[in-house]
Order: sequence, then structure tokens, then C-alpha cells
Amino acid sequence: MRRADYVIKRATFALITIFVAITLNFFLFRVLPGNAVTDLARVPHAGANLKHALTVEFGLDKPKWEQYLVYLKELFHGNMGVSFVNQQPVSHLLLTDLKNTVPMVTVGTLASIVVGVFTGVLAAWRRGSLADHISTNTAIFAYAFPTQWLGLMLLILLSSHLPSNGMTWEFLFSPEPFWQHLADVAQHMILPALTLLLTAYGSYTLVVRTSVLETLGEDYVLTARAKGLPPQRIVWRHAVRNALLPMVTLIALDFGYIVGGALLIEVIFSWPGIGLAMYNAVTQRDYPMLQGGFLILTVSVILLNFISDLVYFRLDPRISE
Amino acid sequence: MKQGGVFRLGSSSSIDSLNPFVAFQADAYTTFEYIYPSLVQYNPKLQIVPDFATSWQESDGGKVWTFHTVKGAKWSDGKPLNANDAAWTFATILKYQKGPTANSAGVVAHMTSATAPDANTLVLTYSQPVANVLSQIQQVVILPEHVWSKYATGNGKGLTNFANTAPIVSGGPFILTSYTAKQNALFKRNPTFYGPKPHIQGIALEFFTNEDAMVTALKSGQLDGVESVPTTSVTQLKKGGFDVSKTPGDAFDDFIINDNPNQEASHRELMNPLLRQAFDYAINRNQIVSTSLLGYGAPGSTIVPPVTGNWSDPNIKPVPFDISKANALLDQAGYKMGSNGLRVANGHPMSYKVIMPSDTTGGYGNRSFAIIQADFKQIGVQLTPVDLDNSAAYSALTANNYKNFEISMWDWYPETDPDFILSVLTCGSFNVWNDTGYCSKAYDNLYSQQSAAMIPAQRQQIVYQMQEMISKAATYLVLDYPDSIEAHSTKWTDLPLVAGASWTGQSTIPFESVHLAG
Repeated sequence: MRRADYVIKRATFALITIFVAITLNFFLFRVLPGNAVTDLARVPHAGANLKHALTVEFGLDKPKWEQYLVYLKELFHGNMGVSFVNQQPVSHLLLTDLKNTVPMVTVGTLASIVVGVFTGVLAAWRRGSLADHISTNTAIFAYAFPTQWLGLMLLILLSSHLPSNGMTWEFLFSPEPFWQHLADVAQHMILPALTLLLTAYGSYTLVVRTSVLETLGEDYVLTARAKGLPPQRIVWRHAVRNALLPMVTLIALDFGYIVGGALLIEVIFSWPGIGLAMYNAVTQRDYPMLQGGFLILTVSVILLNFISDLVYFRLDPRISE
Repeated sequence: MKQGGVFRLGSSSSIDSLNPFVAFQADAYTTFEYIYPSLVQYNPKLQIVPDFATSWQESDGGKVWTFHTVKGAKWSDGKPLNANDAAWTFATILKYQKGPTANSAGVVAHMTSATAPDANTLVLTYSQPVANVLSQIQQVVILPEHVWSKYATGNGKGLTNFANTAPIVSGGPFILTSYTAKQNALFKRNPTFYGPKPHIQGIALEFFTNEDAMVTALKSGQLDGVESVPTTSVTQLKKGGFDVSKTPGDAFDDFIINDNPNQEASHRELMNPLLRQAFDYAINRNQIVSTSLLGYGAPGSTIVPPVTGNWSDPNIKPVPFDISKANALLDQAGYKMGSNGLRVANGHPMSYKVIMPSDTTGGYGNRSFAIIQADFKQIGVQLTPVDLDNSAAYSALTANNYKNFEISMWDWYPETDPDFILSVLTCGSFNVWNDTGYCSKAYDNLYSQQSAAMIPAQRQQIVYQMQEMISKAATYLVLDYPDSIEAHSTKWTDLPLVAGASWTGQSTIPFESVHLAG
């Protein structure tokens, strides 16, 4: 019964958060100074006609509360509206972007988790040694560098050896065979995923290091040592397993951001994902695309938080007590 | 002459839509120019030459224009391409110009009907003589009626909802065979094209959000050409053996002074001609060109850039940099220097906010601003930048009917024909294009006169007169004309430029003539 209570409470909280976020997303862009159709109407020889036509077409001539009600109503029917820029359905556009973003960000995030956990455990296990210093300091540096700086440096240093633009070099008029296409995409993915890995792994290293250090001082680890268990077994089976609890939240949060894409990385490497789409939508004031993008981001972050709560509940019996 | 090969072109623009009634990005318009027929186009000398129209006559004092079109032409799907498609396109724009086709409304200004008396004749009728008919219709691409007509029904909404996805039924020198949003567009030579067949097999257009990545791709051989080169990369590309072309561009950067005589009293001294003259003298245009543009540009003078040819008034020269003269003019105006180094005008210190749109701050605009700001300090005037995105900047300029803003810095990309850039300063352009608050009945009258002046020499005189009016009003202080810089591999040759660009919506000649060297 207690478990059901917990789940219901968490789920209700998640739903309310989503609703508040939808409302905020709607009004946030509209309180900014400026007009959504000014830029779109900047076509020579278009002028007043176009500005008016677009304002009416997008319903921007209606009061804001009415626009909001229409938006909510359409959203409940699964309609995210059409992009102001190219007048195509937002859901369709965002789906294409998501398909491009998810593989790159997943590879980058998974790699950063693996590298982060490994270096964190290493640093904790060999606390105070040269390996600890190198690993911890590198992690702090990588974590501190701004993404855009790191991305640009990698681009400048490596772009003559690795592709640095988009997802493919499809200059052929006959379609590439599947494996060749896959290799092409994988090659293009190296630089953006590497940037993501470098900017994200540091936090894992630091969290894992602290957490493993804590568990290494616990009595049961001492007991394990006293029993004469091999050190590797002590670290991985006894210390790391128990130290991973804080990682659950961190990983869940990072996975929530996967669908949000890595905005700056996508812009630097022209990766045609959801981050680049959001960037373009901001500069072009494409409200429906912004609302759609933020909605997906909000829902996924909240959903993954919810899942991490549930996992926590399962992993840590203290919560249900 | 070598045939074949795919020209891989890097672009920092993008295609926002493949629907001509929706798109507004430059690459989209260039795409339409290459895949759809146009009646006329510009040649590299900026003369209007035949394209789908082989010849034309005007009659009834310039109110009726008759075009004879190419006989026996075909769309890429084999269907006949003739004057009926042209008449349908113009008539559709006319019919829906208040709604779905509003983005083309200007190019059919004063047009009353478009008909095809036979399959090879198009007649356009106007309510009054229109001087720039040819440059206007150059911007209209002819759409295949058999594909589009089903969308031009009812309220015409279908015309803007139609995604027009690739492969597209094309009638120009190339067919758009594939397009991946934000990534690339592939154009294949159109075997059924009515005009001179391109020598290359196709064009692969690759989109970049990062110009450094684009230049690196050119250097490493992943691209054959780039449609724009950042000034910082010119030297290294030249050293790398690339063919770098630097030509006067068709853009200008400007310093805008509020011209609304009813602007807020707190900055109404901005209307004083002596103040404006002083500001003009306090701008170091040569330093802006050498520092902001790294030498790739020319000091600015008139709003019709010299590259547009005969329309630019050669009598308007860049104002020389002269701080002492500027100070003398402000003294003459009675603005005394205060103890804090700022002059005082009408009881308040001469300190102004400069609205900086992202168009300006995103490029070299901040560098130009820093130069002007430092020099204005020497004449006792303080400038403070206010960074806004383009849309918010335009709202700030037009706020309270142009009464609130003081100064701004922006730019323009005028067309080859001067009509558009001249229209920007008309009273009718308020809240649409006008970013100065300038409104003059005399100027508006001249604007109407030039648009109906059918004899080019007469029109030129009026166009000169209008430029002189604007130069004298000094609401725009034209800072510079940045060069247009392109680069391509020497593997390719015969790629002419039209108004400083090879990949342009004004002509298909460049990529019809380019071919592999040797």
C-alpha cells in the first residue's frame, strides 16, 4: 500500500510539473519584446501584405489567452502545430531531429559514464597516488571547460582528419549501401560524441570517486579485507555496487537530456538534431517548434526523474520505511 | 571542354522550405532559380537577358508586356512547359496575394492580369506603367501548373501547406533529386532543360552552421567551393592555392539616426543637420574597412551600392574622417562641452543608446561600433550599445511610431534594381521595412515617379535625386560596402559571378558554365 501511495504521489507530481512547464513554455517566448513574423516577412517585395497574412495564418492576431487555449486543446489532440518557418507539422519535424540526435548523444553519454565510472573508481582505489591526481585533475579540467570552447578546439585540431560537419557526406546520386552509410555516420559522430564525452565524464569521475571512497571506509569492506578477498573483488563487488546509488540520479538526469540534444555541440558540428533545431527556432522565433522542443525535453526529464525515483525506491529500502 | 563531375558547394545559409510561397532564406531562392524556369535573368554584366522568354515587347505606354517563350520545352516529367505555366503562376500570385502568396505580392505590384493567348505567348497587363517590370519578374519562378494547380483552390491554403518534397518536377537547368533538411541538397543536370545544358553532372550543396568547419572542409578537399569566405580565412586559402574571388558586394552597413521630427524631446536634437554632419565626420570609415572588414570592403557613401552599376550616384562620396571639423560643427550647433567630457544639448548630456540587432553583433558590427564609440568620445558624445535580437530590435525602432529610439546600426542587402532599397525609406514602409522614421512626401513622389519612368536615363536622374535627398538628410550614415568573397578549387574553371556571387537567385549562368579544368 505504501509503495502504491509513493508511486501515485510521484506520478501526480510529475503530471502537475508537466502542465506547469507547458504553460510556462507557452508564455515565456511570448513575453519577449519583438514579433514572431517580423523576420519571416523580411522578404524583399513582400511587405505589409505578408506580415498581415502570416499574423492571421498563425493566429497571432488573437489575444494570448485564446492562443493558449487553442494550443492546449490541440496539444491534447496530439497536434503540436505547424512550424512558423516552413509551415510543416512540428511533430514530424521534431521526430526527424530526434532520430538524428538520440544515437549521437547516447553514444557520447554512455561513453562518458563508462569513462567516468572507471576513472572515478581508479582514483578512489588508488587514493593519493599519481593516478588519482591525474585522473581527478583531468576530470576537473574537462568538467570546467565550456562545451563550445572544447568543441571548437577539437574542430580546429582534428577536422582535417575527421569529418566535422553534419551526419554524412552524401555527394553521390546513387544511394550508399547500408554499411557504407553507417560507417559514414559513425565517422561523423566521432567529434561531436567525443566533445560530449569530454564535457560530461568529469562529473561522473568526481561523484564516483567520492562515493566509492565513502564505501571503502565502511565496516563491511573492512570485513571483506579481513576475509582475505582479492582487492579487485572488494572494490567492484562490495564498494562500487553500493556506491552507485547517487549515480542513478545523475545518469537518469543525463538521459533525460539526451532528447534535448547537446545544443552547443550540434550547432558547432552542424549535427542536424533537436539541439540545432531549437537553436534555429530561437533565432527565427518559431514558437511552435520551441514549444514542441521544450515539451519533449520537459516530459523526458520529468519521466526519467520519475523512473529514477522508482529505481531508488527499489534499490534503497530505507525510502519505503 | 571537360564534361561531368559533381560540384560540392558549402553554404552557410540554408533551405528553410522548398515551397516558393513559404521560403525566405537565400539558398531556397537560389534553389528555385536553378530548378524552375524564369522569364529573364541577369548576366555577369548585370544586364537582363532572355531565359524562358526569348523576346518581349511593351505596349500601351508600358502597361502591357508581351513575352514570347521557348517553344517545345518540357518539364523533367516529360509534360509540356509553356506560357500557360507562366500565366498560371502569375495569375495565382495575383489571386492570393493578400494571403497564401503574400510573399510574392510585391513582384506583381500594379499587375492586373496574366494570360496566355497561345502556348508560347504570355501577356502581363498593368494598371500603370512600371519601370522595373523585368527586374520584378526576374524574381518569379514559373511553377508547373499540372503539379500545383490542385493546391490553388478555395482559400489557397494548400499553396503554403504543400511541402514540395524532392525529387521535384523541375524545368530549370537542374533537378532537385534529394534534400535532407539542415544537411544537403543534391541537384542533377536536367536532360530536358530548354537552355544551354550545364557541363557538370550535378551540384551537391552542403549546409554548415560553422564557417570555420566549412573552410576546413574546402581545404581538406571535402568541398569544391564555398559560397562565402570569412575575411580571416582569405589569406590561408590563397596560400593553399584556391581560386579566391573578391568582388564589391551588394550590401552596406549603416549608422541610423532617428528621423522622426516628433521623436521624444529628450533626444530631439538628433534632427539637427549640424549634429548629423558632425556625426558623419566623426566616423572613421577607412579604419572600419581596415579593422572590421580586414581590408575587404570599401568606405560607404550612398544607399544604392556602386556594384549595382548605373543606379548608384557617383557624385555622393564617402565623408572623410575629421574630428576637429566634427567638434567645430557641434560647437556651431551650440552644444557646449561639459566638465565630464560630454557635450550638453538642450539641457541634457549627449549620451545615446545604440540599438544593435543580432545581424550586426553576430558579425563584425561590434568592432565597427567600438571604433565609432571611441571616436565619438573625442567629440563629447557617449554611445551605449543595446544588444537585441533582430525582431526585438525592429520592435524597439518602431516603438511608439518611431518616437523612442535614438540610434541604431544595421545593414541592408539591396537588390540589383534600386526600387527595393529606395522603397525602404517611403512613408508606406513604416512598420514593415522603414528603420529610420524617415518620411517625406517629396521623396515619396519621386519614388512613384521613378517606378513609372519608362526611359532608363530619366529614371536614373530621379534615382540619383532620391539618393541625394537621403544623403543630405543623413538619416543613414553609410559606413561601408563589404566585399563578397568566394573560393573554389582550381580543379574547376569558368565560374562567373553575378553581383558578386556564383550561387545566386539572380542567374543560372554560373553553374551552367562551370566545368572541370583542363
